[in-house]
Amino acid sequence: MKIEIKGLKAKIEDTAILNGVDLTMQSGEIHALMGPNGSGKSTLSNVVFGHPLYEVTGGEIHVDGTNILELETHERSRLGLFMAFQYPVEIPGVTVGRFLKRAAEIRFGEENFNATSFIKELREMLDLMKMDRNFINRYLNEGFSGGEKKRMEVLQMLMLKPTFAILDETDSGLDIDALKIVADGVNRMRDPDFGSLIITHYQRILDHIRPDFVHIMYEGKIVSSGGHELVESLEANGYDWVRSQYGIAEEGNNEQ
Amino acid sequence: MSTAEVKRYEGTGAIEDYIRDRSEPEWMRNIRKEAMNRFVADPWPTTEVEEWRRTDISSYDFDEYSFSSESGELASIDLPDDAAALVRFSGSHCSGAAVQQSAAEKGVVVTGLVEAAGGHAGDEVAELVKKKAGSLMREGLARADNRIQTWHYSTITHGVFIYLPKGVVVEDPIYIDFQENGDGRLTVPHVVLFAEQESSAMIVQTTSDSGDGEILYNEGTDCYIDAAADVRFMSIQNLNIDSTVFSFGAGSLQRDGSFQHYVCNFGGMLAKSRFDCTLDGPGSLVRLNGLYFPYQDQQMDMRTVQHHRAPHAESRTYYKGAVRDEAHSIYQGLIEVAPNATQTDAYLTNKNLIMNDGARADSIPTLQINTDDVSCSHGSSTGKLEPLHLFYLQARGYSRVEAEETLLMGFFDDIIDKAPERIQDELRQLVSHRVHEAHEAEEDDE
Repeated sequence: MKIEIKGLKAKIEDTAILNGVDLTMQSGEIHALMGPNGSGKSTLSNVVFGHPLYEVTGGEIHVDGTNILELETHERSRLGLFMAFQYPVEIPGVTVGRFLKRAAEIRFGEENFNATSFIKELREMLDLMKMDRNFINRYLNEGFSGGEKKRMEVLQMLMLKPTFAILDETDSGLDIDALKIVADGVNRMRDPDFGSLIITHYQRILDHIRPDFVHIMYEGKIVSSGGHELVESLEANGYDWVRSQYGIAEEGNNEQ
Repeated sequence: MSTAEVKRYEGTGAIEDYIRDRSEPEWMRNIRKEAMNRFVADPWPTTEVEEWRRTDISSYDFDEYSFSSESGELASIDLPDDAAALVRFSGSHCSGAAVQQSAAEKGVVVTGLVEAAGGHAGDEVAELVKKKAGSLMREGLARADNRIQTWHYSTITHGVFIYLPKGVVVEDPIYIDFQENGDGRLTVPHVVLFAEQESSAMIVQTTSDSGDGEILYNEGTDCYIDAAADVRFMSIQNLNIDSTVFSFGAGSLQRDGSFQHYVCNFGGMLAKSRFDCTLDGPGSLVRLNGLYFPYQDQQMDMRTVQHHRAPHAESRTYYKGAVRDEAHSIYQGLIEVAPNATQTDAYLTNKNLIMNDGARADSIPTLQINTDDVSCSHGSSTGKLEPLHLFYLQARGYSRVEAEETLLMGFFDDIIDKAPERIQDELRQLVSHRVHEAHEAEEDDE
C-alpha cells in the first residue's frame, strides 16, 4: 500500500490547522511523526479518516492511486487503513466482543469469519496486551482507565490486521510497563505488508519501536524528514529547537 | 384549541345500532350501554387537559372509521411448540384459539372474549367470563376518565379472556396475536386477564397489520393480579405508521402479587398510551417497562401511573426511547402514594436518545407523595446520538447505517435485557429493521 499526501490543507471551524502537508509512506515502513502540541499531528490522522469536524481546504490523499478524500470514512477503513484513536470513545451497551466481531467480519468478509477462531485469537491478544479476558464482555471503553483504552486500540489493530495503521499518540498517558506492552503489539505487526505512522509528542516510544523514517511537523507542515538522528536531535535540543529552526520559515523564507 | 372547535361525532346512532344488533349476554350489553351514555355526555379530550396537552386530536374525523364485529365460532388452531396458548385474530374475527392440554386440564382459560361471553366456549366458560371479566370491565369503565375510553367500552369489537386458576403455574408463554387489516377501520380489542392466587404466566401480545391502510386502533386491557400471583405481560405494537393507536390499560395487585408490564411501541402516526398500576396489597411489586422508537413524523405520547395504596410495596418504571427524523415522543410518568402507603419504594426513569435535529422528546415525571417514610424518586435524561461515536465505528469499517444500528442497540441494551429472554432477539430485530427502513427512506428522498 502506498499513501501519498500532497499539499494537504485543513481547518476546523475557521482555524487553519494543516497548511500543506506532503508525506509519502508505504507498506513495510514505520514512520514517526513528531512535533509540538498544536502542530497539527492529530489533525492529520483525523483528516485521513474523514473526521466530521475537519474540513479539507486543499490537497489530496492518494491510497494506491485512489483519492480517498472522495470516500466515506468506512470506505477508507475498508481499504485496510486503521487509526488508533488518541481519545477512544466510550460506547455503552456495546460489548468489546460484539463490536470487534462485526469489525472483523467487515475486514475479512463474513464468509471467511470463524467465530471460534476469532474468540481464541481475541483471548490470545488480550493476554498479550495484559488485559483480563473479561474485557470481551465489557462495554467498549466504558469505565476503562486511560491505559486500558490505549491498549484496547492496539488490541483492535492486532485483531483487524490493517495494511497501514496510524497510531495517534497511543503512547500518551502510559506508564513504562504499558508503553512496552503497546510497543510489543506494534512490533508484532512489523511485516513487509504492514506500514505504520506513529504520531507522538515524546521520544520514549521510539526507543521501543524503531522507526525507519522520522518527520517533524510544525505549524501544519512537515518541516523536516530524516532517520532516527532526528529523534536524537529533538532529545538533545527539545521542541524549542524546532521553533527556532523553523519558526521564521513561516514568514516566507522557506528553507526546505 | 377550545372545546367548541372539536369536531362533532355523528356516529352515536351507529353505536346504538351496533349494541342492539349484537347477540350478547345482558351483562356485556349493559356495560356497552352505560359506556355509550357516558360517551354521549362527554366531549373529546382537548389540549386543555394536562394528559392531552401535547396531543391534539381535534382535527380527527372519528366518523370516518367504520366498525364491524365478526364474532362467531371459535375455530381451533395449531399451537406452536413453545406456547401454552394462542389466540389469533384477523381483524375482529377470532381465527383460532388453542390451549395446551396440560394447562387446560388445570383450568387455564385463554379464549376470545366476545365469543366466550356468547357461549361459544361452553356455558361454564361463559359463566366464568361473566363473573371475572364482567367485574373487571365494570371497574375499568368506572375508572374511565375520557371519551376515548368510554368509546372503547361501548364499541369493543373483539378481545381476549385469560383466566389463571389458583396455584396454576403456566411455564410457556400465552400468545395473543392481533392481525389487523382493512382501511379506515375502527378496531377495538379488549383484553381481560384474571390471575388468581399464586398463579403465574407470561403473556405476549403482538399487534400488526397487513398494511392495507389506515386503522384506528382503540385498545383496552384490564388485569387483576391476586395474592402472590406472578404475571408478566408484554405487548409489541407494530401497526403501520398511517394508523392511529389509542391504548389504555390497568393492573391491580393484591398482597405480594407481582406484575411486570412491558410495552414496545413502533407503530402509529399517533400512538397515545397509558398504563396505570395500582398496588392495593402490601408487599406487591410492579415493573413497568417501555421501549419506543418513532421515526418520520410519528408522535408517541405515553403515560404511566404507579398508584401506591398499601404499605411495603415496590414499583419501578423504566421507559426508554429513541426518536428519529421529525418524530416526537412524550412521556408522562406519575408516582402517587396514598397516606397509608408507608414504606413505599417507587422509582421512575425515562431516557431518550435524540437521533437528529428535528426529532424531539419530552419527559414529564411527577411525584405525589402523601405520606412520609417512603423512598420515591425519578430520573430522566435526554441525550443525542454522538457524531464522534459514529465516526469511531465508521473508522472501524462500519457503514453509517451499521454504526447507527450498533449505537442504538447499545442504547436499548438494558431495556431489551429486561424483556423475557425469548423475546429479546425479536426486539433487536424490530429496532434493527426500523433503522434500515429509516435509511432506505432517506435514500429514496435523495
